[in-house]
Amino acid sequence: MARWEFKLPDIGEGVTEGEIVAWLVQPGDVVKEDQPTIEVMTDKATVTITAPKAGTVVETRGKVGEIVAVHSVLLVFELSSPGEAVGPAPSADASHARNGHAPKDDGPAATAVGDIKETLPGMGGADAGVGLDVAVAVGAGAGYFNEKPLATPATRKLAREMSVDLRRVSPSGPQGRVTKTDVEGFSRAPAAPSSRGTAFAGTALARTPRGPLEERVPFTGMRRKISQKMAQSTRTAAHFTFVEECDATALKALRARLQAPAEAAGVRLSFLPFIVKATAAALKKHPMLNTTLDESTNELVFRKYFHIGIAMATEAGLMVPVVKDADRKTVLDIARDIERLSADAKAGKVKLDDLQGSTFTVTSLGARGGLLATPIINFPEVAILGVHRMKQKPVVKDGQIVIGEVMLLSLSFDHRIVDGSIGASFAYEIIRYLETPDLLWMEMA
Amino acid sequence: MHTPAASSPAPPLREDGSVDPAVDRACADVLSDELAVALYEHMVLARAVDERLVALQREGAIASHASAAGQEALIVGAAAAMQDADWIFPSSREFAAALWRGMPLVAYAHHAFGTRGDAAHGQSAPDPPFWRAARVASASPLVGTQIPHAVGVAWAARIQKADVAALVFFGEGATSSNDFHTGLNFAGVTRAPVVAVCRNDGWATSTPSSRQTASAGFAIKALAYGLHGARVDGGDVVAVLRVVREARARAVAGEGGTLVEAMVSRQDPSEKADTDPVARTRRHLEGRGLWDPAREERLSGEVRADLDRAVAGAMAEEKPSRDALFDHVYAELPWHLQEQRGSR
Amino acid sequence: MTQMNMVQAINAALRHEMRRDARVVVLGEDVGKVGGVFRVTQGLWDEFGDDRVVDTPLSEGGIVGTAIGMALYGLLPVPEIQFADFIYPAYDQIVSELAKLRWRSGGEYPAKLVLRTPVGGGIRGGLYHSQSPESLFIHVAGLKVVCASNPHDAKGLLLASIRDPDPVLFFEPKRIYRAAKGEVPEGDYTVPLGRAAVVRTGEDVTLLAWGAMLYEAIAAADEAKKQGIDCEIVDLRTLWPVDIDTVVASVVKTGRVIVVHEAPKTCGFGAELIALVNEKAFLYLEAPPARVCGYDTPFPYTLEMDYLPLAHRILPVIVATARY
Repeated sequence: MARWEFKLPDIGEGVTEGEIVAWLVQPGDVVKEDQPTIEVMTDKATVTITAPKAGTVVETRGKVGEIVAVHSVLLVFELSSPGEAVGPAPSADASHARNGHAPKDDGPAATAVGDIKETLPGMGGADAGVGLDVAVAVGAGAGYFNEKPLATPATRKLAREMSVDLRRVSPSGPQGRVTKTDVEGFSRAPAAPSSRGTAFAGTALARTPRGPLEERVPFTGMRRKISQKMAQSTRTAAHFTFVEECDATALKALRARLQAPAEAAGVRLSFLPFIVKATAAALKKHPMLNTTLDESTNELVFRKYFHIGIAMATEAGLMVPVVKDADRKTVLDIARDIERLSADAKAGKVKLDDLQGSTFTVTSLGARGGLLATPIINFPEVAILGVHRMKQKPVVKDGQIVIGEVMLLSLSFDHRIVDGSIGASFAYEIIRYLETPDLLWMEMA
Repeated sequence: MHTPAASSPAPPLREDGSVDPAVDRACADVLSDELAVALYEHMVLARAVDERLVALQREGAIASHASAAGQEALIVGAAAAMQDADWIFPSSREFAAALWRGMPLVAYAHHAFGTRGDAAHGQSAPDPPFWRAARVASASPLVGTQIPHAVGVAWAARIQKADVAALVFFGEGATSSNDFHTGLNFAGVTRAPVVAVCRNDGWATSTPSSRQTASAGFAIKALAYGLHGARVDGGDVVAVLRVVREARARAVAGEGGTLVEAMVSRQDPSEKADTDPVARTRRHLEGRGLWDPAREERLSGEVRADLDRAVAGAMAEEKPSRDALFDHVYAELPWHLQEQRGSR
Repeated sequence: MTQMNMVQAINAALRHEMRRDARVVVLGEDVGKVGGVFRVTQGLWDEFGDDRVVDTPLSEGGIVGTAIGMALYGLLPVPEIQFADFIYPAYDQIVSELAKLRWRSGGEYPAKLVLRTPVGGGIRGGLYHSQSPESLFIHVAGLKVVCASNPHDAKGLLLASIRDPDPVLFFEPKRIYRAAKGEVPEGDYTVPLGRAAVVRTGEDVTLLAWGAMLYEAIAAADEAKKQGIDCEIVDLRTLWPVDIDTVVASVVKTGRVIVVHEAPKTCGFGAELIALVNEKAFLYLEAPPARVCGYDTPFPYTLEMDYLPLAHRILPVIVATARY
């Protein structure tokens, strides 16, 4: 009977680790080939991993919620048929070989010098294998100006001597550095950073013993990933938000007219496909809004394709599946895409490919509308369009107050890249298309 | 084992280095009229180019030039004895081999001046030039390193069973180098089809032959490597042609390489008209009714005009761009060179 | 997939490529009938014959010089220098010719070959069978230098090296020729040149290593873990051009870096790596970059385990760097 170790395989591009979501087998189970054994969540999607061979589970490694690296051992099997053994596990082999009973190879020729050993201590481990692709994801912690503060060695020495945590010091130096003066100033009068969204000041919460007044829930999985992404976005982009009203009368009427033909084509038509189409058209005219900043090469990348992310709330949390090439699809195609992605998201079955590649994101700001929002940009894009639910409101037309259909748009931009006037122009372009949808006729290729 | 004397097909040399004119005329049958004229024209061109580049160097217009005055018959004759698909590995002096193989004068001028129009982008010294289109290799001024390269090319051709040989030139000083020894040793063991031409003018810079080797000449060294040896009057283009052709034929027939020791005169050839190879060749042509003073004047005029044009063009051309410094270090620019060039 | 050691993996790579590409020729001392003194070329002569697997005369300069000629002609030579310690007679051909041919000919005469040679000590080889001369070649423009640490990378990197258009020095860490074992795919694959591998992620200290010393770095890191220090370990794989982005990203992450190499300290490759780290990650450094190297002495015979930068020498440097 051969023992065999099953390692977390390379699941997709850039995936370096996964979180164990659920064990579907336990030690002692007899498992068939292709039987589901474990659910692992990678960057965005949850993957069910099946057993590539039949056998008995001897050991499972890793608890639910634990992060495991690609190529680390998840399961140890006892294989059903000895003939299928891929080979003894490295650790087992190393201990066997350490006794010096390695199979006799052709020894070196008489001219060779030196003593090449068959085994060396400490050389059985999985670490000595193929490397991992590592994506460094750093989130900002509570009360920090910068998780990774920049400072010269001299400044770091001073900080250490003065018992100052550099992460808490507001940097004023070139390149965003904490200077000696900053350190000295902080030690006299510490000031807390005001970060967007979450605001903590002071030290981390002291750990109190468990009791009825607190419940500790592991912050893992999708929630944790979302948290990291949000922090990364707010930490990098200089968010500013532009809010404007859109007269949705024409849009509402258009949709009403097209609902029946759409249903005949098997599509349920909401306002979202029109908004996506208007957005794609506006992006073509304002390409700055469809860029991304490549900080490694210091280049602003203008994308000539238009993949619109659609933010969706699911039970597991926020997901942003992508409608690819929105500029080349019809409103019906886009509607179909959105339906499919929405269904997949609800069922927890979105494919990795559908979650990647967006150049701009649209987010619907809730069933009850809201008056204003400051949506967080989907890093590394440079803008996000938040759409408020259409409402009836009093509006002024030809000097009279009438009831109008008003849809508010809250657009957030990255001010490092998008100037106010450009952002505003873009916003008005979208509004122009939505208020006079006939204009899209002239743009249609 | 082959002894140099037994296999040397060259006409016997007289003590003063000249060849019996009777034998000279007898060799005319290996040399067609067209070939004879072509050889002579290239030798005249080589001489004119040489004199001009020496002058340019003295003026400081170019940094260096390795003069080959007195070696025209050897260089052009040996190159002409090889076939088109063969490779030629020059040492510093054999620019005439590239010219024989079709390198335009303009290209050589750009190379000598290291301009933007140079195939080497000014990265190589003026000599020797290379000419890829006709398999004239790039050689460095380091003495002897080209010898194993030539052997490697010949060896590869033999492995591929191609009708290709390699010709390599070097001076007698190179015979003391590691690469001469190892190159010829490999040539012997592999039977690579190589023709190694060693120019013996009695000196390596300031070292007389007697201090370069205790062997009885240089051709005899072939014995040690199991190669054929031959000695030839390097000033006699016909003899050179015949010796090298025979060596090549032997080589591609699988009989191994040859070390040819070519005697040349270092002294200023214009002082000794009867040993000047260009003059000797002209007399040979005149003897065959192929040449006359009118043709000589026409040729001189053409050569001078071509040379003037080439040199003027090169002098007027710009330096390579600064970025060209980073080209071709590797096939593609790695990150560190991108940074150094200023583009990362 | 097959379980192999490094000798087998390199042998498999050579066999694979010789079958795939008729231009590939192996040459060197004792590589043919005997199959190499470490058996790396075993069986190749039987399959490919005298013309493609050549036992050469005993001359490193001749091996490299004629291989250059073969490359110019259009073959793809993979010459072997039996021990890197013997490479110096070929140094002139490597540095003066091989490295410079493409550049000095404006790209018209590239000289492409892969020069394989065993490096490193720890095998009781003494002064002249234990050296690691990578610095001497990294410093010369036009050459690439590669050193695998495991069988999977050895095969993949050798195939990539053979297919790369530039001359490559393929260093084989002889101490782990047989001790490094792992799964190697049987078919065609490459491991790209210029890409390091993060073999272990960590938060506290970055270890940069390659070849046999990678395992010493791993062992030291395991010990350091017991003291609460979490090391990130980067196997450089290609020494030059080094994967600077991976190196810098790791140092930015940890703020602390240690280079481990067998070669003598002064002007060793560690010096260049640290200079680059200083240029690119200065403001992220929490501690001075450190090197654990061979001493600036010739390579010893009896005292070689005192000379080599083994785990017991690396560990205190990790601790000191982490606690700086």
